[in-house]
Amino acid sequence: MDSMVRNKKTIALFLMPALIIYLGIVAVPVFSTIYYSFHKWSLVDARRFIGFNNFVQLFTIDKIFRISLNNTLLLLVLSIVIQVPLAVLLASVISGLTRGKRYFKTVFFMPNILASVAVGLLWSFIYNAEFGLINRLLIAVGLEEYTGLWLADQKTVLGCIMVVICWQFVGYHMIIYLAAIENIPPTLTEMATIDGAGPWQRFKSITLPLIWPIIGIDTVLIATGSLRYFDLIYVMSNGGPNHSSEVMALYMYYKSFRDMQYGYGSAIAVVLLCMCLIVTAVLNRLFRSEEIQFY
Amino acid sequence: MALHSESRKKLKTKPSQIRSTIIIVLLSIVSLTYLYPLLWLIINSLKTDTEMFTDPWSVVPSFQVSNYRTAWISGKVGTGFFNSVIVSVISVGLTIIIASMAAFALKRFKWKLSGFVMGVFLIGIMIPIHSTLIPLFMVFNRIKLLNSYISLILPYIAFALPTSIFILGGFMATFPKEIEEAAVIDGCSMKGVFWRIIFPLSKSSIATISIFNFVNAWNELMFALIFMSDDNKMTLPVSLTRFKGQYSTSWTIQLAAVVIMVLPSLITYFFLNDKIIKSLTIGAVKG
Repeated sequence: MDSMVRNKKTIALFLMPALIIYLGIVAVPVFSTIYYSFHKWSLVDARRFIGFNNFVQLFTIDKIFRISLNNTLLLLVLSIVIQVPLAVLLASVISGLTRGKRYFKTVFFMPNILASVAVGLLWSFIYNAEFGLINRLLIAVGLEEYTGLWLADQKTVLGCIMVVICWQFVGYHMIIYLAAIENIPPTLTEMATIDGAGPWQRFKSITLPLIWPIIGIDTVLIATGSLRYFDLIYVMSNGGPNHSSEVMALYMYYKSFRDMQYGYGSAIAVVLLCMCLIVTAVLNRLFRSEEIQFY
Repeated sequence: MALHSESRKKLKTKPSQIRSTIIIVLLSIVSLTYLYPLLWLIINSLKTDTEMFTDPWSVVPSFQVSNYRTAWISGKVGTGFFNSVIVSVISVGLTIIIASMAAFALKRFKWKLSGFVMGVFLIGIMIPIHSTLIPLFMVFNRIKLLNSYISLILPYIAFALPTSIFILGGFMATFPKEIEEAAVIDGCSMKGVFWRIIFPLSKSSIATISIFNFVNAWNELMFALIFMSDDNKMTLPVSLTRFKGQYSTSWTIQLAAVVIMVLPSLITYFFLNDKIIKSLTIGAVKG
């Protein structure tokens, strides 16, 4: 028996397919990308080692990269500070419902199963200046002076994209918090109620501290997710107008596969990878707290 | 529970009833911002362009089924649909087998490095696909794999493995040790243990990862955009992005194309929403 579950040949047999595909498609390419990022390499230039030049150029000369970095960080911060409170609010309100809970859960989660490409296109119809719902609605209620070009306007494009990001993903985070809130033993809230605690007080001193670790996990999830935003922005604004909604994933795509600057594109990918790792580490440290158990 | 109903009674005063009514009304309004856009999309996809531009609100379209025909055939959405089905089904099917074999090796065998190898797989959850694109493109280009289904199936499996192995492994670890012992007594090999006992026993987790991975593969854009640029090989999401320029003069055909993409997802979601919600969120909290 023991020899069977220690048999190296059988272990290798079961593990190999996964390990080979994973190492070949994920692990090795990551290191190749890091290696390429130190090279000047494009469709016209043969690969040549240039040290940190790509990174120096990214951070000191490339204005569009600076815009994409700023926008990515802005979307990261906004995604967290808008979605976390909104999702917690929705979850705590819905968890208290006696009727309609399932309906609201199902409806708010729904956009998460749709392709971001489809969601992005749907919203670009909604934002369309001529037939789009938003402008038509504003005209219908007599607020014609507030109509806009939305995705075609440098001032509003990022805000418009942010709305769609929230619309698509807030339901996902709501479900995570809903599960956490429903794990709180009901006797706790009941006792607090008897002691005369109002809904806000109950939320502040029971719900919030108990779901705090989940907020930490979810914040990491939102942060690393927002560094990767590509699909929605690619179809809604394509980084425009005039690069005003450029983000890093999009810029990496353009440098690598439109301008064919493989070395430079790799450098952007490396920055993106580092940001993912740094943000995860920082947020994990920020949210590290003792697990609170009330059982 | 007695306590519960007692406190309930005390709480059922007028203000709390008013409050819960207000909450329901507010939530219903928010839920309309989710449902109405989809309804609007479907209704307007059945109109002519002039109809939509003159009255985008009207709820009775002239049922321009031709929008769908144009999108499906001339817009190549049909080709994209077909390609997406092939790529998603094959990559999910292979992921199920490869991931459960690996989870079996990692959780049901005794060996020193199993924890380390598990850790190596789990790091994959944090790696953005962007940092693999250029090398994969170069290799696929060199071995003439671009515009072939394999060029998408391989990355889809590879990036599905970390979460899948994590979920399956967690589940397999809960089975009692006696399974292998009993099997040995019955003269069954470890291969037999896997195919006849562990794999069938894991079917609930397999359903979870299938849903999770299918949704991801069906909706994936970036790999598909770069590796499948050929008009006859592109997947559904890519065919939708192509639409933007091509049919910029006819909006309602674009709307129809988007409906073709979202309708299968919505119908599936209508029937399986609980299972789908669970499958898509389970990896997040535990991961």
